[in-house]
Amino acid sequence: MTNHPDLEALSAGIDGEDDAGAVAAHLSTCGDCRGRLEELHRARRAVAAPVTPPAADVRERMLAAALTSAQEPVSASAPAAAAPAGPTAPGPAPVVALPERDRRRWWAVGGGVAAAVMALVVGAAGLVGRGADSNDETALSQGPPPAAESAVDSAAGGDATAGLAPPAGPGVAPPAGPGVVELGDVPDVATLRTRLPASRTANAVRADAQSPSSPREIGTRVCEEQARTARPDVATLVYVATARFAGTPAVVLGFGATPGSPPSTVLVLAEAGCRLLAETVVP
Amino acid sequence: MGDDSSLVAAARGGDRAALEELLRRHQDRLYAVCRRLTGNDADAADACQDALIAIVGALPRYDARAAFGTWAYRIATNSALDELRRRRRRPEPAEAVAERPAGGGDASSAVDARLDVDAALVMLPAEFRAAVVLRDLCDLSYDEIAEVLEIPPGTVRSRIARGRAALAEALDPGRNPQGPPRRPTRSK
Repeated sequence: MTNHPDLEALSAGIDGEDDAGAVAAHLSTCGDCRGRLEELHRARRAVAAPVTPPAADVRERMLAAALTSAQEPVSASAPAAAAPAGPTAPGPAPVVALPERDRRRWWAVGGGVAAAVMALVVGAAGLVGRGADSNDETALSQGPPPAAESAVDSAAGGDATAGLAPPAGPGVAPPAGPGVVELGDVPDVATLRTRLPASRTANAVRADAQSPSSPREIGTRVCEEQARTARPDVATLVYVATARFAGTPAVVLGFGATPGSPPSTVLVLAEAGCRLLAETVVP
Repeated sequence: MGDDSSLVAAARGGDRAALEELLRRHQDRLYAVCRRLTGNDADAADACQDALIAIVGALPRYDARAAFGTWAYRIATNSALDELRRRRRRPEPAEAVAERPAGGGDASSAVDARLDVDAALVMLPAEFRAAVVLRDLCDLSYDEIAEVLEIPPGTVRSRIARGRAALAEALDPGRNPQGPPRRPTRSK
């Protein structure tokens, strides 16, 4: 039982990348190696299993964003670094023009919500500028992000639409207001979960944190403050929305592990008084 | 409805219908790569969208040295790896955490220790994951993978072998094809 083929030889044999003759001869007499080979086949089959394609609406929105980018000025839509699709070694690997990424996130958050917003009935404007704002800003810039990530962060604070043509694709909402989403009537938690965006939401908060001007934003911040007091275990605010939850005007706050991560814990608080109406863990 | 090369030519000439057809034709495959590499739907959607946008932007400079599909895989792979770097995801997909019964999920039990392919892939270093996914999901040759990842073919061979072995162990602990359980290192 000597001269067992090494792992690479077994693996490459699966792929037909090696002359399999010698390995095959050995396998015919070595049960151990046949077992190892079967394990490699098992791993290969697992990875090769079909991937569920994205939902039709997600697919169409991706396409719309890409096709819309084709209408934009070359300077905005064709980052030179994207063409050769640079190496995968650690480090910046620019793939997409930052303005597009930023707008995409707006689109992901906005989801076609009209710019018109309802004002929250709050009078605690003095709470704006509280500690959580600076926490958000700190969290967004902490850690050793790649250069591209830093650029995204800084772009989010600047003119996110510079150089872009007016949004023309379906479902592309212009960043006309603060990033607080209006979810409309939400009868229960199950419905709420279907309304949450499938993708990134962090820019809503990022924009919200940087321009706390409207009564609506202020209201969500008051409730966030109270939610944090009541639930010190929640981490980073990554999603903010308003809704009519079971008939009650409400603020929806999503908390994630880190800035940019999807909301994992979602709290629904009454707009007036910030009483906790519901909470759910999002898969 | 032409082949990729005719669609590319038409798209580069400003034919938006050809561009859309080209993107639609490859979109699900690119999404699949992003999904396997990122381990969750949201990041995959972001990465895939980034890739589609990058493809549109880079199409004028596509030189047809590689097949369009391979070139597109390259962009999608980079988008997904870029997304991973940007998100600095924890080494376990959110779905796996959320689906674990609260207080009842003892990871040391034999049942819970079995991971699905997403969770198992996320445990691999990204460069191993990319090599395995490009081979087993995209069916690229070692040479093509070497070109996509810009690494020597010998490194491709090594990463695929060690990645598969680590996956096999994660998918079915205790039945390890390469000996003691271990996570592949980044040395090669």
